[in-house]
Amino acid sequence: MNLSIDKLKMSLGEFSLECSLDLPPGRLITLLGPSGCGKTSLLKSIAGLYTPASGRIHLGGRDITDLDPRFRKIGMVFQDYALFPHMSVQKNITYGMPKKGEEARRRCAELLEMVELPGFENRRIEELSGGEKQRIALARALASEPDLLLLDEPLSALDARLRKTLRRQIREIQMETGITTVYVTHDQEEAMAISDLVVLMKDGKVVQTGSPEEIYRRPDGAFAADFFGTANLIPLNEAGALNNSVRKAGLLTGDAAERKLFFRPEYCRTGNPSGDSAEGSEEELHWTGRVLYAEYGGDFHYLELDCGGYTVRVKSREAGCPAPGEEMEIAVSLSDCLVL
Amino acid sequence: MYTMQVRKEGFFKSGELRLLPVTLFLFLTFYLPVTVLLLKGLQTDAGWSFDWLREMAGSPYYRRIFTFTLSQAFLSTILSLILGLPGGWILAHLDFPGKKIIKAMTTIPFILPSILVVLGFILFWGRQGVVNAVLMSLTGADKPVLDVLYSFKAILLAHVFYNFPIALRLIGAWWEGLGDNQHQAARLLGASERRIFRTITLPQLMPGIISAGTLIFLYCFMSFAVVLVLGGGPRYSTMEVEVYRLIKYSLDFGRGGALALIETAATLFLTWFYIRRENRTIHRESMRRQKMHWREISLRTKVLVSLYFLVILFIIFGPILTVMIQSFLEQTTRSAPPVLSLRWYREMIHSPGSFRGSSARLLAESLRNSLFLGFSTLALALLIGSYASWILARFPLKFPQLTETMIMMPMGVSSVVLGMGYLWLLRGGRMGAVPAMASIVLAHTVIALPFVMRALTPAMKRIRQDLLDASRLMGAGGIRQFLTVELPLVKPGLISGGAFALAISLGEINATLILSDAGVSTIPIAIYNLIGNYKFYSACALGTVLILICMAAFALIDAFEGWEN
Repeated sequence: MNLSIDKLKMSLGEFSLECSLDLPPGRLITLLGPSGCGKTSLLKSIAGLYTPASGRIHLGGRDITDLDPRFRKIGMVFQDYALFPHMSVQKNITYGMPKKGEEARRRCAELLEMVELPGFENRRIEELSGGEKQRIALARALASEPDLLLLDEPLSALDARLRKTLRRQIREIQMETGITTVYVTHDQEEAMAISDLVVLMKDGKVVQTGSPEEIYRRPDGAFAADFFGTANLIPLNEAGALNNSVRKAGLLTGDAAERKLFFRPEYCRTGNPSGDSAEGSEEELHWTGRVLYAEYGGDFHYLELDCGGYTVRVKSREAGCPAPGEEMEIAVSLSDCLVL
Repeated sequence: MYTMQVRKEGFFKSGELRLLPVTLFLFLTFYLPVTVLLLKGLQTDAGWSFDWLREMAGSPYYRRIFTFTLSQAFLSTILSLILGLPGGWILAHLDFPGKKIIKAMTTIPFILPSILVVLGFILFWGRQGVVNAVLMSLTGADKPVLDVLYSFKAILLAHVFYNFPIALRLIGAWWEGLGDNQHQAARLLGASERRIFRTITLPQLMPGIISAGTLIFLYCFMSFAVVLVLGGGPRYSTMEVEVYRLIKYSLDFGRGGALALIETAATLFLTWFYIRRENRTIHRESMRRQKMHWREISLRTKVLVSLYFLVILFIIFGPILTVMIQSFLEQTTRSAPPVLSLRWYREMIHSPGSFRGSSARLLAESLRNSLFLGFSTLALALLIGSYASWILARFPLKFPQLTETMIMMPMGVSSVVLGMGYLWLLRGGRMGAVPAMASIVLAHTVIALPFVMRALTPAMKRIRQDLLDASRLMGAGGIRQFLTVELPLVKPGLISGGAFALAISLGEINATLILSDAGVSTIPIAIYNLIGNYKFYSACALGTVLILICMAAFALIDAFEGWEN
């Protein structure tokens, strides 16, 4: 169901949150940002656990701003799962179901099947591993077929390998059920992997909203560029010769102060096939740099080059990984660059 | 691998053997005297028999005492829980200016020696007390309006005064540990507030309520001075008081021993139940809870919270302040109104002989005795306690549960029974040469030891093994490791344990009253005697000194650990 947030405002002590969002139905939307950016506060306001100072929240066209959480038809998975430790798995899952008895038990078995934990009905919560708890919490949140599913950093307590498996499971269940889902995370890679739409937040404000690819390719500003993947952000007022090339390509108009040249490390090519001068041609920028740091990554090498006054990050697919101190040439196409 | 190796070393390197000095100490100062006294209950002139027990079970007089002991403890527990529950909710859910101070204030009754509570109650709630004086001048009545003292009501009131802080703080701590996420999850799942309380909050709070309830029940069951003085006679006598009367006044060790046997069976069962529950809940996961700030609270809640604390503070500070204020008064003639005076304090600090009159001698001597006893107990209990907790935490034990229970056992035996056991050993065991002071120090140490252990052992066990490994790799082992790493890390435990020992020794009256036959007077005993002679003003002066020392001790405990742990 369509969720729209209209000029929501709230403050908790020093921190204040201000945002408007219109989220499409049936999609998985991530609220992404560093810790303390307000993403959990926003999520809890949607759930009705925090009361906003002003603004309205609509779910499926219905104004739910002043509705008690118990009537909102929202399912939520908490960061620490908030499973009831004194109840069995089955009791936990059926707690919010409107129907009791045989029907509830059947539905519970279905849900356990869905989260791939069949037969777990009578387990005690303390017997479960972290990953199992997470999946039971998901099953409980979906039990009464809510209109909206909220997940508050659901994987943050688990190890890296399990996180990858479970995020895929969450995504598959979301696509299968078609439920509108809001997913809070601080992990950019996780957001990129499973979202239809990413809402990037910072200091209580929305920085950018878009599909993962949009944000990755065309970030709005240095924060978005840097937080959503690795980025080169070269200050143009220090870049001297680069300035002209960038101007000529029409990327930069006006004052260069405070502006930054942005491109992703993997857009760099190593070597200098066209043999142009250091300032670069109409289409390309060229550098000759000394390797400061090299990391062998299997599919990619990650390099940092000193290009005279600033550092350029490169992801290279070349067979050999250069050693620190080596000189090498790199180039990047101007069509892959942005000025932020 | 490390533990495998240790296990192989067998019994002679086990913790039990290293604990032998402690075991021996407890055997001599606790197990022996108590057992000897209890066995008296199974002996008649004709030899071993159950005659005493049978007589008691058959006698309507003793049956009434059993029923009264149980029913007063049960009622006191329920009332304390009811008074403490709202406070527990407030501590766990709300944040407001002055919360820390109010929280600390609610612990004050718990630390007050029982004789002080008795004194405060007489002066505050009594027929000539402050409450009645105010009510009489308000209503214009010429007779006291409230008649509370020397009755069942007085016992209940004093027990609730004493024990609701336990309920309040333990339940508060449990409630806080539940966190708010489960509550929020249940709300989102569509449960009403009532259903959440019934199905989520209460079931998880229940262990805390049962723990607090058991502890309160145990304390009320063994309560002595309150029942002895405020109960006002045999009509409201409990087993504890009856044991004291039988042995101290009738010298009837047979009946006294038999009654003590029944009482001890009950208290040991309660203690076992309590310790077992504590052990089971010690690894409870504690969750985070976001508290509501004062500004966000509705007006109705604000009014109710303020009202609650007003009532509580009135109940707590009424008696205490009365004692403190009266200590600065003196009645020069029988009919004149009292005038301000520092006489009682001057008598306390002057050396004996510089004042005439027995009262002055009593004040100065009891102050000196109490301080001597308090600090001796403090030193001895800390010495034994830190050694025992170190062994318990560091060495593998064959029977860890049994060993810990053995050390904690004095908690479950009333101090009247302990004192009577000492008395029997000193009189009948031809150990009359042991000075009264020494026997009192030993009794106090035994009583304080479980509290010291409870403050120290968890702290000692919390020290992580890798920290010890690190210090050993850096070359500190054995005694140096103990002194430079372990002892500093348990310093909070040492301080709160020591404060407990000091406060317990200073306030102890049950065993002391029995053993002080030889004329050793302590502050609580002096107060007891002064109350008997209606010398309330000087009793108040001693009481004020005691209050101040106890409050200082508990400020230390509160600052370092918080005693609900």
